[in-house]
Amino acid sequence: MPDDSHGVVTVRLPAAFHGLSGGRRQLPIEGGTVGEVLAGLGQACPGLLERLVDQEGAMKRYVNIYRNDNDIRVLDGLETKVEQQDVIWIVPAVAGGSRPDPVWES
Amino acid sequence: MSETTGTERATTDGRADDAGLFGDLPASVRFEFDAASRFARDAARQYQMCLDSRDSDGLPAHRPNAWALLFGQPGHTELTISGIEFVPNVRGSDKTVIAEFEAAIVPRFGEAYRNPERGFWCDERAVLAAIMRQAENGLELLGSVHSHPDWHEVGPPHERHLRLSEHPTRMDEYLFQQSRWPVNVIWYVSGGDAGAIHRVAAWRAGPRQCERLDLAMPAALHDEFDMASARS
Repeated sequence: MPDDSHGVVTVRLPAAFHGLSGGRRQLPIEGGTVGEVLAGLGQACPGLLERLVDQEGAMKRYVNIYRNDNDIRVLDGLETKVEQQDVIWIVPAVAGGSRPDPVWES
Repeated sequence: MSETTGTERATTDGRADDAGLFGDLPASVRFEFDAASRFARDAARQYQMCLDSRDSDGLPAHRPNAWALLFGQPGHTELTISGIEFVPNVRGSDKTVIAEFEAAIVPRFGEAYRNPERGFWCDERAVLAAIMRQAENGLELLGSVHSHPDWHEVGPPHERHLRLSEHPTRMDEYLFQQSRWPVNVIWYVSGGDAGAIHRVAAWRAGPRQCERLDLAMPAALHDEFDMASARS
């Protein structure tokens, strides 16, 4: 009997993970929740899961994960349920700083 | 000299070739004219606003701060930047970003980073919207650009012993390392009242510190802006 709680979603990967994804920008991954999808993604792309979650299994602050266009932090986090044909977007933060440091010698 | 017709190749040292971080992504970046000129105009405008905001003691009321997302395509030999998007900065307004600065940035880099005008953090929903919009043009997000002013010249007198340049600050390095975008451009603006001079360099995270990328800017940019090569 088919498991209706699982579907195949499309995971969209950023250029920031190019080295870990072998250059792939999207992958079909099966799962019932975002956490399960990420676990599947980690199997497909070794080392990638560690970029997304810490040792306690919590999402890292410098990465954002969206189910379609909804930030999973405002849904149910990694427990957010996914449905067939959802798109999971993974987008690292874009940030920088400009406090003057002691000058770089060049 | 340029490897590409009509283009000035600005830098060559310290090629970033760590395959573990970036696989086969080229360590060369080329800006197309429209993307480069749009950012240069914004950086120059911000710089002029800073100059115009100085009081009689030389204290500027406006801190110049330009930033943008860089969109393009990776080729076999270089990454081409052909689109930029300006998105809001939520460094001082997003509670989770403020909390991140308090928890991770201030302890590492000092009390100065409690000031919400220090640094930028792009609004994350706006970043996603830009990614979706640019994907329709076949472009993907490759990284970001932000400006550094010659703070030792135009900053407040008590901060003129410190310098910025086209090199990343320690805080830049930390954030580039965390996010791992393959292109992080720093656009240094100097020159003061004599007119803005633009000096640009591109970086990405390396195993120990940021590594400099080959950067090619369109030669036509010189017609509109005073562009200084980052290195000869």
